[in-house]
Amino acid sequence: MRRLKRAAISAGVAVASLAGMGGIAGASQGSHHKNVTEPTITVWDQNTTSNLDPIYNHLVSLFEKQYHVKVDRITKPFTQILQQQKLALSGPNPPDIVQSNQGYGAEGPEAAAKLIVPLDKYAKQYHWASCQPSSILNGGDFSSDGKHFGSGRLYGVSDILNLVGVYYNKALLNKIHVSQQISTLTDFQSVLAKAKKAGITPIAFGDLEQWPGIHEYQSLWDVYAPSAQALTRYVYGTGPATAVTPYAKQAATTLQTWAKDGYFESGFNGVTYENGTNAFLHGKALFYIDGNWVNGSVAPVLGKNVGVMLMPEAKAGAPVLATGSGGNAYVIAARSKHQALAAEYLNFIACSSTAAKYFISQGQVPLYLPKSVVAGVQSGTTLAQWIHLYNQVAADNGVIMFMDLSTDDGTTYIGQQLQSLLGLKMQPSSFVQAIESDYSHFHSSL
Amino acid sequence: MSTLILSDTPRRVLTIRRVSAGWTGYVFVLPALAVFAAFVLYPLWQTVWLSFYSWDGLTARRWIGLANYRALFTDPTLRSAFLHSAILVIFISLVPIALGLLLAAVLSYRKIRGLTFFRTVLFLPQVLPLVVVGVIWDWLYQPNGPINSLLSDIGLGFIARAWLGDFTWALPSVGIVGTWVTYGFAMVLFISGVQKIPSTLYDAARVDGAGPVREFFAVTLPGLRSEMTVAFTLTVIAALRTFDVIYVTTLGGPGTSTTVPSLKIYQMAFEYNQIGAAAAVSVALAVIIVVVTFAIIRRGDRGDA
Repeated sequence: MRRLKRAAISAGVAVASLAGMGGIAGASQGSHHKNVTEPTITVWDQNTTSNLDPIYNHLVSLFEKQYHVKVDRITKPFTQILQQQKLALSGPNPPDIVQSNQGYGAEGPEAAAKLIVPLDKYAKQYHWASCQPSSILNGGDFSSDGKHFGSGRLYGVSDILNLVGVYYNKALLNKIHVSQQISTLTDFQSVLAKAKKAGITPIAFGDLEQWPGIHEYQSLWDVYAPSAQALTRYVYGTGPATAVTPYAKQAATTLQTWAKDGYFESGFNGVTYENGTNAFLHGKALFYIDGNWVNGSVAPVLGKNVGVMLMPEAKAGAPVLATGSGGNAYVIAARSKHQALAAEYLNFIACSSTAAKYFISQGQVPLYLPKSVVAGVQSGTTLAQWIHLYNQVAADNGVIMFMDLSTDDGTTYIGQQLQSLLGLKMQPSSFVQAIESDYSHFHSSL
Repeated sequence: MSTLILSDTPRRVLTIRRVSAGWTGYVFVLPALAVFAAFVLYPLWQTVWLSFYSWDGLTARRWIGLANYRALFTDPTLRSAFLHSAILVIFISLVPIALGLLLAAVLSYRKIRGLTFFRTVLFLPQVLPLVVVGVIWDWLYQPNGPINSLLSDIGLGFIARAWLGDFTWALPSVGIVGTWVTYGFAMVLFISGVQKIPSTLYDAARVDGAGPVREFFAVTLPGLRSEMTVAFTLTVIAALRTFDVIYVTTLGGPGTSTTVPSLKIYQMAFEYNQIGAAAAVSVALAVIIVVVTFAIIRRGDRGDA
């Protein structure tokens, strides 16, 4: 849901004024409520949408009953958590759990400032490695100095899946007489051309918010890449890595060609993410590249007419790689007085079959998929397809963390460069160079 | 302020009563001053102080001298952000003031039936929260939105485009939102100003055979000088610190074609944890605003004299 939160507009956003800047150093904030009889943990989460909010209310009540504790769940939109979490965690009375976000934006500095605790001992105690693939679990890792992402100690853990794939409209595929499965990128591109010729928008796309384009680009980056290791090394900066690679340039070239050939919805740089989604929902486009987080909107509207696949492979027999991560990770405050209980709650939502079963019953894909739970999913649905795709990628340990988390400002920076690339204002080679300059600048400053 | 105190000093020595009266004044000011100092001066000082550091907001900060300020000149995105602000001044200050003057002149020239109604409707955009305004215009500007539909309906379909996604047109498009928000304020200010101009001046102009245009330039415009100063000051400040509309509509895109300093400050401080760099941009923006405002007020004063 990480992406959706980004799209959400908080009406309460304050202009970063001079006073606001100063406030960062001084003020403190915390939640306070104590129940004398049973221990209470306070959880800040970002699950504000009408799909997710009731799910967590239910999970919280299940947890409370099972453990005889009280959970004070406070929901805040992504932007608010972004602004408040560091203050809250450094205050004397912080929330026990905060649903933060992976990467250098929050988790890294919080780990370095020792505001959050390493979760390794809980991971061991509850066997988290056996209920989530390591390519997902690593997204919560940081070195204790906050400089190295994706390795070191575990600071954050997630409960549900974020995976990027390609939705397709079956009725429109029939209309242009494509009946066989699209298994290679070459096939995929010929279908795009066919759709364009038939007057159907090949790919629904709204990129006004800048970040949606990263999914388009990274989907190609993933399939052109030689291995998961090369990509992971780049995103996490765990070894010498560069943005200037043949496959990065290939991905940029292909994507720009799609833009040139009119394969995207026209005016996509000025179309909102929401309208991009809507174009696909209303059957106006053949494909839509987005995550499983929109499945809840897509499946009910398009029903049997929609299917989902990963970006088809560029080379036969290449490992199955796809962009994804756990949902925004939960961290435990260093000043929490109930750390063990907080870890118990995290284990409950991230690694219990009770929660997994409930997530699936509500159309969500949890990271933990016990066989007994998966068996109950109706086949042929996009939910079943997402579960299948997730299993397929996880088997190859091929979940590639969102590339924009490779630097502190990557989401904005890469998003802006992509708008230029796709707006035909920039050559693929300059695009790759621009990404490299931001990447090397950031990593040399660490 | 300091010259006032200095000139008071000898008198203070002369009579005790005056001294106490002087200090009593400060005592009355004290509560307000304390609030001002706590919530404006101290954060201001802190911002200036932080602007010399590299700091993520949590861990130990590192003194880097003027490096954050050097970035203002070397970072092309930051430079262009300030340039975009300057362009927005045209849309959020100059154009609205021109429109406001025109509307004030038209609405004041003859008694118009339903004047209050027109005034209210024209002022309405000013009342809406900017985030709401942003959401409305975001919708209007969509490639399949009402503006493009209207253009193609009247045979101007070739002009239609993805306004907010167009590298050339995004900034003017956002600017027009600013114009729409601000002109009502200028208009109301000028209408009330016109009402203070003695009607004898208009009578005299009319007796001398002045038409509406001549009358506007000879009587109305000179009579609105102080309102103009107020309007320029407030709208230029609004233009330079534009944030809400950009945040809601383009987020600085496409590319960086609508990025403005306030947006950069927000992103640097809250998204990238570059508190020091964000503070430096804040300081630079504040200095520019103070200098420009000062220049406008000076000019306004001189004009009045």
